[in-house]
Amino acid sequence: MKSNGKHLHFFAIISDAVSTLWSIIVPLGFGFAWGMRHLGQIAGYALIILLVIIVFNFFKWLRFKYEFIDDQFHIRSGVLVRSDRYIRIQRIQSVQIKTNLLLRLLGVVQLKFDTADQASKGDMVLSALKLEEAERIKAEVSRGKTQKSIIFAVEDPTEAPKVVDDSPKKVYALSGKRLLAASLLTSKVGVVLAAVFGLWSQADDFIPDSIQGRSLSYLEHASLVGMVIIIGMAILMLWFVSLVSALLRWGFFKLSIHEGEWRIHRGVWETSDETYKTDRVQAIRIKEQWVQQLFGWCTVYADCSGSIDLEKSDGGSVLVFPLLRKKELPDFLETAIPRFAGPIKHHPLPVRGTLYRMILPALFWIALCCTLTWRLDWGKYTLIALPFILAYFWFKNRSEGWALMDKRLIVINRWLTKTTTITRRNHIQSFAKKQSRIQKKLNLSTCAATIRASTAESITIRQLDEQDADKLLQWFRKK
Amino acid sequence: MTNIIFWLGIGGFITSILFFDWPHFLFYIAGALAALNILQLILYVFIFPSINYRTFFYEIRQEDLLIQNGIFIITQTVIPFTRVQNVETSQGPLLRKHRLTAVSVTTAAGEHEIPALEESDALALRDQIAELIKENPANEI
Repeated sequence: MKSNGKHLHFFAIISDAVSTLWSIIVPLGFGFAWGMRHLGQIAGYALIILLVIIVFNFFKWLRFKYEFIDDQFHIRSGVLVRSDRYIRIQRIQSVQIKTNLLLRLLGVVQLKFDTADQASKGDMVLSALKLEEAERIKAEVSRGKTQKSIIFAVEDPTEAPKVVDDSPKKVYALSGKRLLAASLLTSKVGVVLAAVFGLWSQADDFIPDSIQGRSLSYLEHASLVGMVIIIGMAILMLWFVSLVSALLRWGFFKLSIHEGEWRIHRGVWETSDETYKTDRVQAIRIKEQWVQQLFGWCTVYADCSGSIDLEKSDGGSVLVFPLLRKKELPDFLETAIPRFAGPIKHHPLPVRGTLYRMILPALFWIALCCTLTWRLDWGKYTLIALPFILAYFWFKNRSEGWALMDKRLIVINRWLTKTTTITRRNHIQSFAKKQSRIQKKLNLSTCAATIRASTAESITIRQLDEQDADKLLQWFRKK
Repeated sequence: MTNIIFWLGIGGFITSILFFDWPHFLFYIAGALAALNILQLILYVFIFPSINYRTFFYEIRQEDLLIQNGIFIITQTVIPFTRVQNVETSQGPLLRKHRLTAVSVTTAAGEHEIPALEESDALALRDQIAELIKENPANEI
C-alpha cells in the first residue's frame, strides 16, 4: 500500500488564504469597516498583508504532503515548525467530505478525519482535494479497516466473518413539506434579531448622512398605525430571513442508516457528507422547542465521543434528524440506534423540590421590583409579572423528570426547550450526588452523570428525592 | 495568587486617584473592593478549607472510587475503575515542603482529585488504584 507523498489541490492556497483573511477580519470587525472607508490611504499596507498571506500559504501548500504508508496515514506539514503526523488507519473513526458552492464549481472538496481525540486537539483536515482523490482516500481508509476486521475474524474462529453490506438499511430524507415545517417551527428569530440590532447600531457608519436623516425623520413623524405596520413588517422580514436560513441549513438533509454507522448528507450552499459510527454515540438528545411541542414534533441530536466540529453542530452534538413526529420517534430510534431505543417514560420530581426551585427566581424578581419601585415611578407595576414568572417556573419544573429503564437512564430537562436525554450505564463516566444543607433538610438532592462527548458533558437531575438519588447511585455501581 | 493581583490592582487604583486627577468618590469603590478582597481572603483561607477538610473523604471499594467533597453543596462522586484511564500524582513546592502529594484520577470525561495526602499514602494509593484498574478492565463502547 506504499504510495508517494502527494500535494493538495492547488486551490488549497487560495482557500486557506481566504480562511486566514477571514479569521483576521472577523475579530477586527467594524474596525475593518472603518478601514474600508479609508481604503485609499491604506491600500498599500492591505496589499502587502494580502501578499504575505498568499506567499505564506504557498509555502504551506508546498510543504503539506500526505501519503499512505502501510497501515498508517502520514501527513507532513508546517513551514516554521515542521510536523509529521502518523495516524493509524484503524484509529480513524470516520472520514468526512465537505464542499461549498465555490469549491463544487471547481470539483474540489475538503476532507476531514475524525479520531478519538477531544475536539480541542485539532483535526486532520485536507483542505482541498479533487473529488476523485477524496473518494480514493475514503475507499482506502475503509479498505484498511475491513482488512483488519477480517484478520480479527480469522483469529476468532467461532465468529463467522461478517460481510460488509454497503446498502443502507433505511434512508430518512427531509421531505419538502417537512423542511418547510422545520423552518417554520424552529424559531431562530432571536439570533436574527440580535444580528439586525447589531447591524443597526453600526448602520450610521454605513449609510450616508443625507439618507439617514431622511429615514429617521420619517420614523419620527409616522403615526401609531404606521409604526405598528413597520414593526409588523420588520417581524415578518425577520421571520422570513430565519426561514430562509433554516432552508439553507437543512435543505437536502438525508440520513442513511447503515450497519453500525450513520451517513448524514446536508446543505445547499455548503454540502457535507458525514459518517458517524453508532458505537461512538454516548447519548441521544431529543429537543422540543415550545412551538414544536405544541404541534407534536421533535429534533434528534446525538452526543458522540471524539472530535466533532463545534461550528457545524449545536454545542458539540450531532444533528441526527431535524424534524420528526413524536409518534415516529420510537420506530426511528429502533432503526437508527437500537441500544437507545425503548419506551420513554418519566417519574415526575417531588413537589417540594419544585417549590424550592421557585424560591430563587421569586426572590430575584422581588428584589428587582423593590429596586425599581425605589428608583422609578412605574417600578411597582413590575410586580404584576411575578405570578406569571412563578407559573412559568412551576410548569417548567413539573415537566422535568427522570426514569431508569434497565440499563438506560432517561432525563428530561427544560429551560425553554424541553430536552430528553437518553444514555446508558456503560456510557456514564462518573456519577455524582450533590446535596446542600437545605436540600438535606428537605430530603432532596441533585444528581449529575458525566458522559464523554466532544467536551465533557454532564446530565443533571435537579431536586429529586434523596432515596431515588441513592437508588441511582446504586444502579450505577452495579456491574 | 489572584489575591495578590487584586491587591496590586487596588493599589494602582488608589495611587492613580491620588496622583492623577481622578474623582474622589472612587475612593469608596476602592475601599469596597479592598473589603471584599479581605472577606474573600478570610473565607478562602480560614473558613472554607476547614469545612472542606471536615466533609472530604475518599473510599476505595471493590469496583469504584468514592470521593466526597464540598462546602455548601456536598458532592459524592462515584468513579468506577473500569472508566479510569490513568492515575497521576503531583506535588507542587508547597506540598513538597510539607511532604504531601495530590493524587488525581482521569476518566474520559474529566479529572477527579484527592488534593493532599501523605507522600507514602499517596504512592500506595496510586499503586492500589493502578492495580484495581488492571483488575477491572475497561469494556470499550
